[in-house]
Amino acid sequence: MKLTGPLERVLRVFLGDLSARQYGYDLMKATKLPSGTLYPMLARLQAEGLVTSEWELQPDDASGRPPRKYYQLTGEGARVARLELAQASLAARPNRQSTTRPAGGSTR
Amino acid sequence: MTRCPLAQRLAEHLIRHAVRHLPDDNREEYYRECAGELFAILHDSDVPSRLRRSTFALFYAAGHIRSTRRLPKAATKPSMPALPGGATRRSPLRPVLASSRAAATSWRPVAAVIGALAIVAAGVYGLSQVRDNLVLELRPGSNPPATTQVPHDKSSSMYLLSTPAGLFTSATGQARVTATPPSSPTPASTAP
Repeated sequence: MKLTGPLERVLRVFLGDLSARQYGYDLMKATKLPSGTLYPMLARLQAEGLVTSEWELQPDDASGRPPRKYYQLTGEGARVARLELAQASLAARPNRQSTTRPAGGSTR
Repeated sequence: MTRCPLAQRLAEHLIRHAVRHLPDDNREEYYRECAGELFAILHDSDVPSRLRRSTFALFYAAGHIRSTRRLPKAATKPSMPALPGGATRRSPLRPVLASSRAAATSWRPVAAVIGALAIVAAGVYGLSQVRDNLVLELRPGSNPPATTQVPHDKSSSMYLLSTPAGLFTSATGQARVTATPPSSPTPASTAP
């Protein structure tokens, strides 16, 4: 799994509350990703077994809305997501250190 | 009877168009999911402006079109069994269809120009007819246009308009064909 910026955002939202079930519009709002990016990503995560989906049985409110499809990170998905995010932050750290200026007195 | 907002109907139409690119077994579920999301978008209380919600719903649907179009064609079509020897199956009508399509494509501009010329010619002819009619209606005593002739019986202009060039009717109602229209009726010409 290649960790891209959008995927990192999605995984962070999922990891924010592991027990929460998220539906597509919720994720779109949280990640600020367009539908054309988010839904293929969810389908890919689901195909890899990192995310499960289930249909809402009966809407709670009586507004007549259609049932929603909820997504949730699996146990394996949570493990892989944590690992990937940790590796990404580790990979980003040397770059940050290289941009820092050397200690005073060593230059000039 | 329930009436959906226009934006919802448009977005559903776009999503229906988008799911056409998906495999058959995924279409229904994908559409149901998107319909549920559309409802959530259009009734989102966090976005106070209805216009913004509608716009967002349309963008949401357009995003699905974009994503489903990017799918590889192999994923959207049912798999075809491989032929022995690694041969690929091709329709025998394929070259004929391709050539007819190419011919239609090359003839399209020519047909458009011919059609446009025909429309212009018909318009010019119609305008000249209208002008002739107006001249005859408004100035019965003036010089008639070249294509029509004012007969001696001026009581009915409609009667005059229906008379074709070269065919003149006498006062007694008998028609005769002349090579050149008479300039003024004479008793000899009106005699039976």
